[in-house]
Amino acid sequence: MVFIKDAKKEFLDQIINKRVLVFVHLDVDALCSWKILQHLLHCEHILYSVIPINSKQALEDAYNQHKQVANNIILINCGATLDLVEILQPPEETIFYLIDSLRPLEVRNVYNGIQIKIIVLQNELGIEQKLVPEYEDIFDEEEENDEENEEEEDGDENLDEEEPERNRSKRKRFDPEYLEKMHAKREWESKRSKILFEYYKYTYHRCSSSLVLFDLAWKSAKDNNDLLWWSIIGLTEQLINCKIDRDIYTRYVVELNSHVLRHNHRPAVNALGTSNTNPAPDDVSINCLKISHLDDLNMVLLRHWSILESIYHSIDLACLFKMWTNKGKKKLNEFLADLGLPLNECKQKFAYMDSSFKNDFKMLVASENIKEKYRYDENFIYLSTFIASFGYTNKLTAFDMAYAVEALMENVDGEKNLSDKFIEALNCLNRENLKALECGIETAKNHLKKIYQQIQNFIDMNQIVASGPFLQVFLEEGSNENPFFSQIFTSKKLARFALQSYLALTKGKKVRNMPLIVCIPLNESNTLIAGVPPYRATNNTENCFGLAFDEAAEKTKSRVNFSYFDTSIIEINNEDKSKFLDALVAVMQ
Amino acid sequence: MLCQKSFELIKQLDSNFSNAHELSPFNEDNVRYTFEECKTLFAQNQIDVQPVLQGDNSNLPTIQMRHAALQRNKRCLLTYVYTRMNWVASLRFELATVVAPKHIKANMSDLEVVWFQKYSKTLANYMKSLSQATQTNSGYIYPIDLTQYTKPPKSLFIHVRCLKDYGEFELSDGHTVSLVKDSQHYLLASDVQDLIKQGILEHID
Amino acid sequence: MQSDCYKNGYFNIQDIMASQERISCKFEIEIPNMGFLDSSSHDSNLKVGSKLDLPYWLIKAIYNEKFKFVNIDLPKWYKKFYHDILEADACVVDLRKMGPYYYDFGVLLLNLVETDIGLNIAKTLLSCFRSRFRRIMDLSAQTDHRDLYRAISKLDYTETEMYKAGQLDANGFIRWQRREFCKLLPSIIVTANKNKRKRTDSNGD
Repeated sequence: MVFIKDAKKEFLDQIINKRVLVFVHLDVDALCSWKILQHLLHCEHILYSVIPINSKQALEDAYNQHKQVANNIILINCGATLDLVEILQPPEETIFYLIDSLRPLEVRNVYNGIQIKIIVLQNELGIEQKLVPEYEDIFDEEEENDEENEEEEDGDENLDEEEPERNRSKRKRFDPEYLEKMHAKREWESKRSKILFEYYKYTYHRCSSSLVLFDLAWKSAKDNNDLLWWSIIGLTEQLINCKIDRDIYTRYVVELNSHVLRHNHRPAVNALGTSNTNPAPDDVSINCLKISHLDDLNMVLLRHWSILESIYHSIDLACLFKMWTNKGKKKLNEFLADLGLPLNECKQKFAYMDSSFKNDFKMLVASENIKEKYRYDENFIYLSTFIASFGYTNKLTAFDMAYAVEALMENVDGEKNLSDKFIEALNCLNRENLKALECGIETAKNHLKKIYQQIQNFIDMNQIVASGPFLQVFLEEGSNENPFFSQIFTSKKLARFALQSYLALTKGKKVRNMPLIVCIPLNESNTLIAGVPPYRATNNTENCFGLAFDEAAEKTKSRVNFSYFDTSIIEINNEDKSKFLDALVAVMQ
Repeated sequence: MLCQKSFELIKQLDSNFSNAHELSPFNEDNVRYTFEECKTLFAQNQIDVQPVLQGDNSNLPTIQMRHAALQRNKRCLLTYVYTRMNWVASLRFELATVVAPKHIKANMSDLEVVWFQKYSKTLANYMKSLSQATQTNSGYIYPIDLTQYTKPPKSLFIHVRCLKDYGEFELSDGHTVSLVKDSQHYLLASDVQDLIKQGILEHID
Repeated sequence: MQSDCYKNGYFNIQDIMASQERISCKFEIEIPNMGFLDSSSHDSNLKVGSKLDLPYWLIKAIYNEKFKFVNIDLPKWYKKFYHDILEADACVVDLRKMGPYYYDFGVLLLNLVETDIGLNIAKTLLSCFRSRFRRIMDLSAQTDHRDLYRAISKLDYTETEMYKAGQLDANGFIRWQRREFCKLLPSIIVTANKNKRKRTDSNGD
């Protein structure tokens, strides 16, 4: 198997003094991992070239342009689910190092020990190995040779050779031993296809790449507070985009908390053990990064908005109060009144609110009678996260930063190409660049408002319909926001918000377990279709649409382009759309 | 009015170098006109000075004025050529190239182009002689390049982003990098300094 | 640019521009063959009593304290009336209107006038400069020159140069505070002409 057991020895030490080519996928987790990896590469003065990519085609093009640069190629959050050796056709000395949170890994990648190496968290190594099917179940050595012989049509073989083989096979057909072997082979093949079907059925995510790289940095004793903060942001993004469940998230938070405590330890008393006459809580410079654990409220961008706006745009709370109806708005006002907050205070920015109200707010939200009246529990309203403070600016939670960076990456205003967005988002992650951070948060607010507006439209015009085993919603053609909604993560966010809001407003039992697809027109000829799994309390991260789209496309021979690494997002030609959707209904039943 | 054209040369210089930092085309016409004016003035003075030598001072103010005009023309011309020469010399350091870029070369006169080449050669010889002085016992010569590191360097390697398509670039250790627009690389600072100065690469922190 | 030591004398562009300023003068004698200087008369000689505005360098050549064949009329900016204005409040006066090279030309004038008038001019120049200097220093510490456009338009050339130098330093300090000194920059030739280059490239393509 190709999983690296000791990342430091088999990865870092191998690339010292060599040149490296790095491909970074455009998502927050990959960006944070890149920052951590960049730090490690700088420590060892390893020369590199880095290229941001968005889609499979971009990976191919970029690889062809730069392949002579280096023999060691690192791919972050891209490529592990593709058969790299076949698609990129690398020369023999090239080694690929994959750091990816997306599963399932392509089996050909896992069993190619020579050119591919996959880096995962050390303590999850056993689990990862078990997830991949056994070698014997998928690959048959004899089988491979036979297959290769049959597939070779390069003209290497003479026509004469084929003739005697056919005669041989004719003779063999009536041989009982041969018949048994064929029977066994057919059984093996059916078992194999079943195993592969089960393996590729669901796409899901495991540990974030930034956490893997932080672990590597820690084991090489090169970790510091900045790297820790970036890995926290990477983990947070996984929760925002529903790549992992709450309990898995909490587990990783606990793990990271131990690192946080280690790096942010402040002695309360001085070395002699006597307390100071003037207790100075921080005897480090004000510009240092200080991280601490926090059980924060589940309200998006709370510190940068007013309470009212923050509640409006958080998915969970908006669906709890059914914010699109008038009744819902009244219920929200009642909720705020119960908490003892005057309405004009709630409309002010959170940072400028009266401090007594702020403190009361956090406590009262968790009080028993409020929770009973509005029917939510502690886990719903509180979210375990980390908060950072540096300099004289406001404190930032990991969620704020994740939203800001993602907003900058998915921003369609102003014609920026991939590289510009990449550099902007990276600037935002730098602590010194406060302007970029503010810009990111403003952009995030705009994006959330647009999504909310679109959901309001959906609900007002009843555009979310159940068609067969899943829910469907179409966006109008020619709308200005379509380019914005057709970004990878925004389309999924829209779909999830639509699903949750629909479930909040309808009462049918059948729709409880339905997934949802959203169709966004890209231009005159193409449409983007994104699918999200059904909303469940736990285990709502496994997405079955990859395989479903593939089967439906094959059945109807539609012109479908699986352009992104996430197989639940496809681009389809408008003419094939309706027959594709019909086939999809049939496939998923 | 006397010396108008030569003054125009100076005005052109002033506006170019203080605001635009760019060389304007060599103003051949004005220079030639000024030469002609000088010749005329000198010839006129030669005629008028004859009576003065014989003691008749009535022409003296005229001669003095013409002489002043001649000197003014000379000053303007010399300043024009001198300032441009200095600018061309600094080009070698600013852009760190031995060959002047096309759009700048188009504005230089032929003599200036030749001068630039000779200056580059002299500079190269000078740098070579300095390098020879650093020769160690083992025979290793440390190459000295005066156009590099005009500011004290802060790090050995820097992260750069490519602003224009440049093609293949060879590093000092023999490897090549393909500098495609918007690609980012981490390279030795001494290799890429020249390209940053020319605006092909951008230094990113 | 190189060779600054040469720039403060013969090759100094600022000096050449300042000495081109005109002074009104009256001729006391007849100057043969210089009639072309006077555009209103058709005579080949310069008549007695003709009033002309001639540039400083020309006057300097023929001005003689003893013989005085030219009578100089001080430009009005340097007369007593304006001395009083400047003494009242120097900061609001628009020195650019009073000749963009007010200080330089004033210094050059001292060679042409008698000692006592010259002393007055010198004293006025000094006190004016002293009172305005404070304001220029304050202006240059502010970093955005676009807001200060109105204030800057009243400065003469020398003061503008000082203002620019102050601005450069203020910006440099801010860059140092932000630790941007590590960043390698493209040469000024590239940045100043980046937009021009884009236009010509697109035209050429």
